[in-house]
Amino acid sequence: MLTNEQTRIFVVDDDHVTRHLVSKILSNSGYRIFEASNGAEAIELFDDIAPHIILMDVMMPEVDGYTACRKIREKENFLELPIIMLTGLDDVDSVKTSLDAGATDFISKPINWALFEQRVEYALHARSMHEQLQNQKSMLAQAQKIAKLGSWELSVDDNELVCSEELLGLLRLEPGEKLLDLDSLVNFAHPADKENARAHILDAMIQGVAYQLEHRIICRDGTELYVLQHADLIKDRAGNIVKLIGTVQDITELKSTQATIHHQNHYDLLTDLPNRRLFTEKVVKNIVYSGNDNNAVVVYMLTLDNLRNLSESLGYKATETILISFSSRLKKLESDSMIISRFNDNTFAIMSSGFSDFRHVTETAEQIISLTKQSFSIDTHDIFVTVSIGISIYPIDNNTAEATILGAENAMLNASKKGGNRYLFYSEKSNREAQERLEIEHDIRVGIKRGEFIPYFQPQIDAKSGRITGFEALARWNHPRKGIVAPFHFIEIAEQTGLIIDLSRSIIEQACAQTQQWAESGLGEFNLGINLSIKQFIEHDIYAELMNILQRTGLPARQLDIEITESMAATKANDLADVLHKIKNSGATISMDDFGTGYSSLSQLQTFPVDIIKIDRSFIVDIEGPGDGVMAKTIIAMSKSLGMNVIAEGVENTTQLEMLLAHGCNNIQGYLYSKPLPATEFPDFVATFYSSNKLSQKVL
Amino acid sequence: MSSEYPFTDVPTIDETVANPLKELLGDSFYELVNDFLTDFPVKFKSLLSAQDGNDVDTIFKIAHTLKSSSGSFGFIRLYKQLEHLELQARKDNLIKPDEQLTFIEQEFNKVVSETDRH
Repeated sequence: MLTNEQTRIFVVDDDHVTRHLVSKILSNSGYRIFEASNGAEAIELFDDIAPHIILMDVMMPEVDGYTACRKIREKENFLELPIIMLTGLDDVDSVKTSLDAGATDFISKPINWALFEQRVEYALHARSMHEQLQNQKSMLAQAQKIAKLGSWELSVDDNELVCSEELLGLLRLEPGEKLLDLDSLVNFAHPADKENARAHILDAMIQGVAYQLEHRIICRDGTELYVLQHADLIKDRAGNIVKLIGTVQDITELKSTQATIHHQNHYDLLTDLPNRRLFTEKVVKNIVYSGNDNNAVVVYMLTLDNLRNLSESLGYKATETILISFSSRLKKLESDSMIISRFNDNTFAIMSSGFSDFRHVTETAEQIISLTKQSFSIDTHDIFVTVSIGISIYPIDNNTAEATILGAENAMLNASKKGGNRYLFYSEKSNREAQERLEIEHDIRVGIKRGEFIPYFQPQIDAKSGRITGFEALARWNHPRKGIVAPFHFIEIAEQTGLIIDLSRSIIEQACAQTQQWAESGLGEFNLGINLSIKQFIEHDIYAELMNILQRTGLPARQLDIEITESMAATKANDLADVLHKIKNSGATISMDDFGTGYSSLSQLQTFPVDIIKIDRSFIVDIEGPGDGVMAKTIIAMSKSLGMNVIAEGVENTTQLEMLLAHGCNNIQGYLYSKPLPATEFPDFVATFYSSNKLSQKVL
Repeated sequence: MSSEYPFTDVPTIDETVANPLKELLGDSFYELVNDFLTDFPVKFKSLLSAQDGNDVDTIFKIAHTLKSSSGSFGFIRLYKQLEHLELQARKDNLIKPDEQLTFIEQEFNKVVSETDRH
């Protein structure tokens, strides 16, 4: 607010007596007074004086007060200048004409001097208030512009929406453009956010609740923005909602900044890999999510050996180049279940939540090591670095995320201390287990090449007729150091590594050749049961291979019995049934092994061309147990009703045999007759079997 | 003030106007009154000339100006008489203008003597 001394008052009156009177009164109060004796002079002097208020007579020679007032109002920035016209007391017309000409107010003559100064002060005060209000509005508009804040106001009665210019600008609408109603505003919301925005507004209007909402909008020009919307309600005295007012703030930059900050906080600047913080969060989250399932989480901690020395000799830029290049190589290993991180300076960390077995872990470690086999090019140099890897597995090695990470770091340091270019598990147990697995895998591979895997033959007897009908070929490993090794020690690894295909081919070929050789030698024509792995069906053309083997060995297909397991049937491999039908059409038979232990159902039995059901040994043992062999009896009855043959496996004594025969299962395999025999011993078994009186003892 | 021309029931000076003005202006009041008293005869002379020349427009303008300043000082009877003349001049319907001017001159002299007394 101006002081009186700062306030310039322009008194315009042709009557110098009145003009002096007015001027004198006001100058006595300290105002700065400027005078003009007519309208023309007032217009001429106006710009120089730039008054804060004008007191002007109406009737003046040359240019009257109305014309002068109108001219002054035409000037820019003086729209709000108070112009008070001095008019006659009863001159209603001149009052009206004055106001029409743009006068702010009038003072009638003769002037009431007692009130005169107050009238002037009031006009100045009003002007000052108006100016302040304008300034505040202007500042608010400016602040809104800077804050990218628009506002709207909705009258509930008529649904009329008033939007601020800033909001129109934000929506890329023209200044002064009108939106019909609130729905027109909501329609700017991103399609995915629209319903939520509408629901908030409805809630606000129905339940009377203010709301705050972040959502996206699509502006008229197609620009997508993030906005923060606040809305509140204005109620009348009776509590009825009369207005809904809201602000809409463009927070796109804020969102983008937040995203940038988040990225900087969670990703390494050099490699753009997740940093230690994000990696640790991910490990914690994975372990928490594993919950009661205790799904394993493997943490690999990697350090590039001797990188510090390289930094001293080639400079940090060279080190950075190697780190970037190594991180690119690492990214090639990345899968959905894997997180690769630059953990700190020279250390990377990998988390894998898809742990299945040690072989997979060691394979990954080997892959990481192989990434350093190719050199890193620094200027004209080819630099070779090696990597040390520490591996820790939750929950095998450690039972928290932090301990698992720390365990991997410790193992990495140990690997580094041992000369680098290697991996180590956190625990000795894991190290040993992984080592053993690796050794076995290596040995199997070598063993296949050396022909160390050989078939053993377990006879199958028709106990009713007393005939040896055939045998099941079972793989044995004639290990050079360990001697004969049972399948339990190598089949699983062979399956996991895919070596089962070569191993199985070798066994089948040997067994077929042997069976044919016994037939040709007159020992007898025996059925040969062979076991197949699901891998042979999925990854391999087993039908073609079987046909080739039969052709090479000369064994008639009718003597071949293919044993599949219930679990294979449950995998629902697409063309399993088709392949089995082809095999069956060649003349071979199909057996369902381990029946009753898995997921078989009658419908599966009907889907697959099964000829023979083999009762699992666990049901044979149960014949003398609490179940009284109910399962065995049921399987026999069911097989008969389906027209299938039955073979009982694992028959060890005559009690079992008697019960099986009593229920019509004559085909027996088990230690009662013979353990699996090497090919060299089988002819003797045949001779002894037929010549001895075993038959009379064991056949009822 | 419902009185009619020649407003003999109206006082020469309206104290409710003059007194606040005196308070506001102090000694300047008399200087300004003196200013008015000096200026008035000059303008009145022009008024007489206009009357002689039957120049109604000039009569209207001078009457308006003199009315305005008379009223400002609270010379209320003079104000009324000038207003009466102004209104008739505006309507171009002067009735006994000579008589009106005589009354105005007499009233001005009265103002002079009244203000002298003060």
